[in-house]
Amino acid sequence: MEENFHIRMINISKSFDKNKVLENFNLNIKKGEFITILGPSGCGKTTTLNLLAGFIFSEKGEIWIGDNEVSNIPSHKRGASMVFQNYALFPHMTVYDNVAFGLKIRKLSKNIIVKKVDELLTLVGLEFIKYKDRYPHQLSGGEQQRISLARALVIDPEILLLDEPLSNLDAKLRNNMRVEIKNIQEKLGITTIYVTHDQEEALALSDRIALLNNGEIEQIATPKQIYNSPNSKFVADFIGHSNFIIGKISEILQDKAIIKIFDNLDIHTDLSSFMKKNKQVTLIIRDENIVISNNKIIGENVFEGEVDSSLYLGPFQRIYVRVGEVTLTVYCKAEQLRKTPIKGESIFVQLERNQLMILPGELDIDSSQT
Amino acid sequence: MTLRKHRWAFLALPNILLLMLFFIWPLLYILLYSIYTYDPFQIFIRKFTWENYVKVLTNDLYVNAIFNTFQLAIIVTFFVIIMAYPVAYYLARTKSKTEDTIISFMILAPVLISVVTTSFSWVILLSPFGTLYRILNALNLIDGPLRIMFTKTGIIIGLTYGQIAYMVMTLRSALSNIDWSLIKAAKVLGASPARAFYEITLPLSLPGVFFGAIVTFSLSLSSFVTPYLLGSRLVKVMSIFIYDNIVSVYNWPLGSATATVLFIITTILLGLITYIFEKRLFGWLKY
Amino acid sequence: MVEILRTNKIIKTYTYLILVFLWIPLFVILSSSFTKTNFISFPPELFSLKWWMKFIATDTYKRSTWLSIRISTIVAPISLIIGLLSSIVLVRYRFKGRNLFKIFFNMPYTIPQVVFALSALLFFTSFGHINIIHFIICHIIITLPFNIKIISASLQLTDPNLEKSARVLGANEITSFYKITLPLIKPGLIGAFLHTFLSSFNNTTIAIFIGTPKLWTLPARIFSEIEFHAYPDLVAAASFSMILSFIFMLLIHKYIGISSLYK
Repeated sequence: MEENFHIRMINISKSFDKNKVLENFNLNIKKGEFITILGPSGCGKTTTLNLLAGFIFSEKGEIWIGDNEVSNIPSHKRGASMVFQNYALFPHMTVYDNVAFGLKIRKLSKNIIVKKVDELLTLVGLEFIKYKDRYPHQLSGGEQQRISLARALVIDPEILLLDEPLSNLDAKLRNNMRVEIKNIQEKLGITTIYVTHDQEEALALSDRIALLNNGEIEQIATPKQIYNSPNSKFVADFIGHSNFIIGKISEILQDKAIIKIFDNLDIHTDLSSFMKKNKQVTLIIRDENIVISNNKIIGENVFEGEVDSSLYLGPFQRIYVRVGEVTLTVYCKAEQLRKTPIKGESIFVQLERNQLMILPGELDIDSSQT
Repeated sequence: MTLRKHRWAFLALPNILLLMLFFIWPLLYILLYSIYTYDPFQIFIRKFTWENYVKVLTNDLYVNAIFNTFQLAIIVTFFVIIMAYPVAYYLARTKSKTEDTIISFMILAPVLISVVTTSFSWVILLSPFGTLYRILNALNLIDGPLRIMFTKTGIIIGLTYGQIAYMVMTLRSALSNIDWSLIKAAKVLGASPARAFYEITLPLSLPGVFFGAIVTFSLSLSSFVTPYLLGSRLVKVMSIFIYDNIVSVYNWPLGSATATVLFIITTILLGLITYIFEKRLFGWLKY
Repeated sequence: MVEILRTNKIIKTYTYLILVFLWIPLFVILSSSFTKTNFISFPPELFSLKWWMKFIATDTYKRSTWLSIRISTIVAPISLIIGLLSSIVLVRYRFKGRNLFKIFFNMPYTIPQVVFALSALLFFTSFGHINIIHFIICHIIITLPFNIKIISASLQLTDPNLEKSARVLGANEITSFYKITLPLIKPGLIGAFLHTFLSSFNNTTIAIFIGTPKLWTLPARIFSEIEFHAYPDLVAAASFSMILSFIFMLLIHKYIGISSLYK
């Protein structure tokens, strides 16, 4: 198993003052993989990146890059290259000197350097002649980020680290750059670790996502798996918009379970191994998976509710529906309903059984849901 | 009119008036007196002449003094930069706030003590038969009296002492402003710590060095108390000539001319250099 | 990694050596004032208070010290108020010539003190004899730039919206400044006051140029006596000035932190 992984972080512990950021942290990354470390602020994702780069050192544990254990090797000897959120281009050097920096240190001949700089600038979509003598402060954010990428890649690093590289760009530019980064990464096949707090970015770019919470990996899986099969409330809550409904298992039948939500609400779900009668469970269903209609729906788990409020979002809308004591958030196309729902209007929702995720226990709902 | 909107401008009036009446206007007196003629009995006669300037700019003694003044200022600035830079670097990099506060305090405290007192102390230490003499004599490194006082060396020591603190704070500020991620970037690209310092930190700190040097140079040029006490009037710098002419010989016209020359050199020339350099050399700073 | 640690150690040692270097004169002056010998000597032969007694008893020192104190006491509040008013203008209001104003107000600091001292001498003597008012005027001018610097720094830390909130609630400009901003910049004001007092007390160059036998401040006295009367009572006088400065320094540090003088 071990030979398959390009990067291995084994039992890493790192504290700052008395604050334990990572404890017995383990992460394995395959060669050529694009993995994103995702999580809220303070979860330890930047610390992980800094440990890999060699800017900080762990108290315990090992870091393997390829066949080398690198935890004692300083950053300028590790072969890990990094792209920073604020680009970190050397302001007193031209674009050419910036990109050539790493090559000059490696004492390559001038001809080779010029050739490589040209190659990389072209790879990131910038014309060599036009840009080589410009200074960073003369360029836009997008151009600076591309140069930053070129500079990081020109030295043929073993691994590429990116620390929220697109956070400083506006939305449209960010989307474009995402595609470019992904394309370049696939073309070069370089093992890449990407840190971000933007889940959309993580879902779009990654081969795998590692979702971090307080220094622990809550789930590490492909984007599809993480989205459709979150293994904890935290994951379900962090990625996408979900409804959380607490209930008690009232009956277990051959092909389904019946969950009681308050007195008059029963939801039928698939069976799960942990289910026992009278056990508390939390049902999770994504906003976009709830079926909604003005007319009565035929099927299982259909409820009539009252519209609380709605938000028009252009091609989509978000509708808040009260069903008994529960308020559900529904996300659907604008043309789904006859007209814009009004407060107090009667409406029908369906929670299809195969869209319901069930987790044991009464997991408290926090306001980050909205 | 916009008078109501700008009525707050009157707050600045006391300062403006004060400066115009008692600062700008008196400065013109120097210009005026510098072209009067000297008279041993009346101090000056209101007869216009250029002879004072001629003397200042051509007379051997005076030209020598101008040269001395420059030489001292350059040497002092050089030493101050060399001595202050590592301290500023350490201060800028230290992670402990207590250490930062304590060291900052200890660096700046000696500066707030009057310059007479500190120069006096150096006189005691560097006297021909003073402390340093006694130490070197005990180590058999010296025979006759110590020849540091009454020479340029003594003045250099005294002036350097007085300027280090300011340079440290200026450099420290410049160094702290350097974006740490630039160093990180250099490191992941393969630069050793020494190389990162040489290629990134040092060049980016140069504007700070430059502006600190300008101030140190200017203060050293016009310094009076330290050269007077440590050189004991044997080393002639321009400020001492001004003093001699005004207070001892009462040749106010000549003193005024000397002062004007000093003023032109210090304020206008250095101001011009700063302006030019700011525009041409450090353009990349404005990002 | 080892290379980094070693270099850091060297720099640290060097820094502490410089600190020692900077504090040697303070130590020299203070300890030499307690010498038993009849001449200035460092290292001194401890321990005797006779030179301090002589300093306290000598009329000339007393007069000079008292003169310095009188001047500083009058200079400090006046310079503070003028500086405060100018700081308000510079910090709170945007107008076209703002940078020029800054440079203009800063001029006493950028012009060599010898030149200013000379101009003051020439100017004031054209009206008659030098008196204490002239000292006061000169010191106010010299201390204003630093005042403005300290107070402006304090002012910039306060949110102008606080005053605006008070105004929309009904307070006029003076009241809102007095009740809201002034308390917030109090440490800055105290620090500026202390620094002005100290600067004025320690000022040497101007004192030497415009001073007369009747108006000879303590720093000027120390300056002139080094040439003519270099005995340990002079060292005691210098120590006194040094201790005073040190006390002020600690107070300044308490209120605004000493590094804010040089940012």
